Amino acid sequence: MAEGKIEWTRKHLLGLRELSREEIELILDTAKSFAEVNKRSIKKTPVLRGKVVVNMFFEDSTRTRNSFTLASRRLSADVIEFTKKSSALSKGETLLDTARNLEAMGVDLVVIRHNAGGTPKLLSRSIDACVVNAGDGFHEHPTQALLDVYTIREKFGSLDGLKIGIVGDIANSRVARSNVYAMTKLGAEVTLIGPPTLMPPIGDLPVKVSNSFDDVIESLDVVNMLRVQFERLSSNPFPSKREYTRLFGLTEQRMKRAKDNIAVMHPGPMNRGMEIESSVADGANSLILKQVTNGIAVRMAVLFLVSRAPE
Amino acid sequence: MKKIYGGEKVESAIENMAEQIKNRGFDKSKIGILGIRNKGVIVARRLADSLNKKLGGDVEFGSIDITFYRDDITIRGPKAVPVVGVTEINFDINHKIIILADDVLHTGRSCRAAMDAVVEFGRPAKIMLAVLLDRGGREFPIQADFVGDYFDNLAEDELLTVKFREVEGKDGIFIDSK
Repeated sequence: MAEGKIEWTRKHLLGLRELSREEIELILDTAKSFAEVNKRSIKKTPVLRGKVVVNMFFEDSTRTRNSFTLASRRLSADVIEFTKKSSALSKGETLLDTARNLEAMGVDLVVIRHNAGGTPKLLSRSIDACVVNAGDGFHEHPTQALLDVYTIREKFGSLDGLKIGIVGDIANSRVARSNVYAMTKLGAEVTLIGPPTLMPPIGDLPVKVSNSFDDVIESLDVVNMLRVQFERLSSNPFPSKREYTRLFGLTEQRMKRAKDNIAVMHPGPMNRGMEIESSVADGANSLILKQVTNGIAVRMAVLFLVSRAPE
Repeated sequence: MKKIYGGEKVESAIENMAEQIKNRGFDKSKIGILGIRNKGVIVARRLADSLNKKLGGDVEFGSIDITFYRDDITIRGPKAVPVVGVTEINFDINHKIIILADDVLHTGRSCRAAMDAVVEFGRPAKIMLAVLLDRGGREFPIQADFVGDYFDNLAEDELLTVKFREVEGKDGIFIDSK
């Protein structure tokens, strides 16, 4: 059996900030093998046979939840789907009590999405099961960023030296944050693009910032379009949706100025016609559905690796 | 690490296996050789080359990674997580005579895992096992059908390793203590 170049020791995946380039690459390399499994007629491996995975989603989700469910099942795990509405949480039970009760039933891995940043970390300190962050508040969404960089690496071979633009509602985006960590660690040059009202303080993040999409589009190899998260906004950050689209939307017109082989990405769900025109979202440069496909393999790899970590 | 044989021993072991397979009189279009990652892939490649010369045709060839099928996969270990290799089978295994190829047969656990992996791709007519070296010490009721050479006088704490020119630059058979 070939041993890894690095030792995977993490029992939890809480974010990408603390991961090294080598750890990220190990996840991506492992995901490549699971991608092969996903092309077989029987898309199953016995890797998590006898293990129980619980999906605890406290926010709405379609893609991520289904992706984790499918990933767990393809690894032969038993899966418990947990929602706040149908649980004792609606009767006043605390999150930790719920998690401990689930653990008492023999849960081995907890996949959690929560609107409060830091919840997965709190959980990881309170229970023995492995914890995987499926998105927490404005903090991180590590598996989304991993599938994004996997998809980019699949197209370009490497992220080293690529110019990547992340466009839109940066302030409210956990995807953007995880993207920055993953992409810059893998050698890409990242520019955050959006209106000043949706641009948070950058601090020590190794990125460039631009308030003009038109100034940078010609130089980009990859563009990742973010949805404006109106549900998280307390005031209007721009005069109108039409104005936003004019300045920051990925339109046919704007695509004419981009490189021929620019990769168009979007974490979903899309506001078609606002941040991205339908013809671009469905066009030849779009990797959006590829991202969804790759998400299953990447999540299989994450579940596999954390489940193998030393106690 | 003590070298006990050079490249000629490796070559003759490959030839032995190829000759044994040829003598079985299989229809060459029915044969598919799958190397068990990692070093079994090299064995399979060389075995296929030798067999092609003897049979005058291209036998199907591929590789299979057994990481997900190992019986210790769910055991959390202090060891590094293995690098999972890619499985490449670009032919239909249904109704084929699948010959699994590996460098050393010892406990039989790798072969057991490889069989589990193979049957997820279809239903071969037959699964057989070709190993460069058989060192004994089985923990599963598994025997090779084609053996290049036997090394069954090793102590349990001795490690039998084959080096290949494709990876290490030179062929050779070595013994080391575990």
